[in-house]
Amino acid sequence: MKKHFLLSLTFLTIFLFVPAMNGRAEVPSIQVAIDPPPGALTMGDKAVFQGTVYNAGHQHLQGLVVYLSLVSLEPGHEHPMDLEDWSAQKAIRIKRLAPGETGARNWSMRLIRSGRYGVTLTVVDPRESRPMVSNLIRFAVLPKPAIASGRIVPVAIGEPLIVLFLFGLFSGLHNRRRQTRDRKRVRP
Amino acid sequence: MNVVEIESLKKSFEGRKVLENTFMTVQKGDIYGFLGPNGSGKTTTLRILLGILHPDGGRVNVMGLDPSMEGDRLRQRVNVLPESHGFYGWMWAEDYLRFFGQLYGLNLSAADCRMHMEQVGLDSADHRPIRTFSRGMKQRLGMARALVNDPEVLFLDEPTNGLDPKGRSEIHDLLLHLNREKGMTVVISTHILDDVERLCNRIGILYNANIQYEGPLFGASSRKAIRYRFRVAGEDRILGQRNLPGITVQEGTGNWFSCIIEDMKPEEAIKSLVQRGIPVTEAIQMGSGLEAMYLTYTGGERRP
Amino acid sequence: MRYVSPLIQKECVEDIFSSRGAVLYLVGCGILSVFSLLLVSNTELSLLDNAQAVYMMVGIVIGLAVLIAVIRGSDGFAGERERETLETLLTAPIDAEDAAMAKLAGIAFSWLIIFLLSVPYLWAVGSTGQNLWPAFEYLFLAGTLLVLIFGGFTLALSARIKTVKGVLSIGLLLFLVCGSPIVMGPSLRQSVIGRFMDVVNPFGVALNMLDSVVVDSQGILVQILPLAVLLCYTGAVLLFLHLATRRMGL
Repeated sequence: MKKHFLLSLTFLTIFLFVPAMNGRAEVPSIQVAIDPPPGALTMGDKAVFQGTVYNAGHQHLQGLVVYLSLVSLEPGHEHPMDLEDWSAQKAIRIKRLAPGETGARNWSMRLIRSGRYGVTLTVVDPRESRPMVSNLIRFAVLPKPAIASGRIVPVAIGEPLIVLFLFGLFSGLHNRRRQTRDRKRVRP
Repeated sequence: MNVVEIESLKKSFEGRKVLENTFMTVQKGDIYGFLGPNGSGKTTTLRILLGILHPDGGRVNVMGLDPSMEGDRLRQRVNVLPESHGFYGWMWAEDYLRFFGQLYGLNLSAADCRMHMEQVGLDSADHRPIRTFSRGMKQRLGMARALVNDPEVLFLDEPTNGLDPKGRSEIHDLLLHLNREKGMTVVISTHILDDVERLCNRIGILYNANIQYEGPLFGASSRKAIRYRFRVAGEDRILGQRNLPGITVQEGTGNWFSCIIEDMKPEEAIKSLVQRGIPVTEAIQMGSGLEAMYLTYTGGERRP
Repeated sequence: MRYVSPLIQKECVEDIFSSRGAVLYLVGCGILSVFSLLLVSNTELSLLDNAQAVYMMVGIVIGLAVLIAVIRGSDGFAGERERETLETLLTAPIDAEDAAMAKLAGIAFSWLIIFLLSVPYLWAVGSTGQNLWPAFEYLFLAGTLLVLIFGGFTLALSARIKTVKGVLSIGLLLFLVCGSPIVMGPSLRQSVIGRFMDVVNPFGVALNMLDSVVVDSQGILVQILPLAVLLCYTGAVLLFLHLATRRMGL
């Protein structure tokens, strides 16, 4: 009986404390979130995404690297996007974040192409082995009437050629008409 | 009747007096030779007569009109061939004549243009831009342009520049024809004394900002006037003999004196001087009368 | 009686028959073609909306027209003087003022050709957007006045300055100074100097007028003041031209 009581107490202890110990170990010290800009987004707009980094731990955090990632979510054409043409802001460094402090930053991005996209914010703590990633913000960029390239290219290439041709034609016709007139005069 | 009258004309450029108290008269029907060294003011005078330059003082009258005030009316009736005259190289000769004809209100036909070109010896069938013309052809075209409005007075500045002897002769014949048949008055500014001797009946010599001589070209014929330099013994005797018949004594240096001999042979002139007690020890002919006169009045006397 | 129409005809035709005219217009077409192709190939430019693209192209057209007007104006009398055709021209029954008006008409004819050459480009760029027809109207109006101002000014200078080189130096310097609003950034244009330039510079006045018509879709009432400024400049330049040619030397 005593043996059974001790065994039950051991199992109870394991079930009560170990999960609690595990739970306390799984609460991240950094929490990162990103909010999309309000309203509809159209090609050519400059969208501002607000990112926040919260120090949920008890220790000061230093030298955090925070960067934006963009992916295309077009069905069948999912792929990461190169931010070179989209945004001048890539990674930033948070020098120091006190316990309970929130660091907020804005990421502006030029929406250069229409389509469906997702954006996340990633925080790298040099002392941790795993970076923290925010939730994926999905957004759509609406297309916009652009310059009609179908008309521009023929005009841009054709017009100088037409002008050159017309100058030559006009000059040649003028000279030929004059020579014909002179030849008629010379003949009696 | 005078077609050109200049009285007390004054013009300066940047403080330099080009014309000062200048007088000039050209009569209707004259072929007037306008002579003078380079930079003497001949071109300036022509420009003032045409109204494209304004004088600083004096009175100018061309066919009863003041060029400064009624220049465009005057230029309707006269024309000019300037010494430096460019062309619109992209034009053809016929276009060029037609363009200038239009400026005078004339609608020249192809036949009219052809006539003007043939008149000056330009091949009218030559169809190419003016920029390909030779200098002589351009000079002829300029002359054709100067005649396009059938002017009453024609001003020419070095009209035979760039022409070969045949071309010069043709232009002479043309000017004489226009003067005799159409009564055109011609004023020629030139350095070529042969042209003046052949064409002109009156001359004006411009030097030192003034007309030094204006009048007929040595009476009946300039060829009968010869310039001689005589070496005499007793120079004071010749100085007192200024009114010898047929002999015009000019100036001298030492015992050498310049004389113009008209209508007599040199030996007759020497004999005449000796008979008057002026012993002539040496005689040298210095050139034709016009050259002599020109050099005399422009301070360019030749020395033996 | 003075016959000026042959002079005007000669000034207009010379532009077409001489190689200089052909080269200038071909270069103009080339510049417009390059800009048009950039609009479709360059990422930054391809994001411009139609109104912005039309406005930028209109600025280039006006810049080209004024540059050609400066070149032709500089050659007006000084060029004839150097080619020794001026004296012969002035011995015809016309005066220097008639010749000046004819040359100014020739410069305006050049502008007409440039405007007609630019129409297909503007149509190609702006036909799917807004304010294309007002752009044509105000481009023609502002362009004509600017061409008369800059062309007339350099023509007046060439009546007084003996060499083409001298006049062209002044004319190009003036063009660069007046055309600087095109290259000034927004912050510079908001500075004291920038605002001063916007008020006194006819080029800047014309560009602002086109901006308000093409981009901001503002109507005729807003354009009265800039048009009045341009007309005043035109009047002043024509007076300067009259005075410069009244007693012009050879």
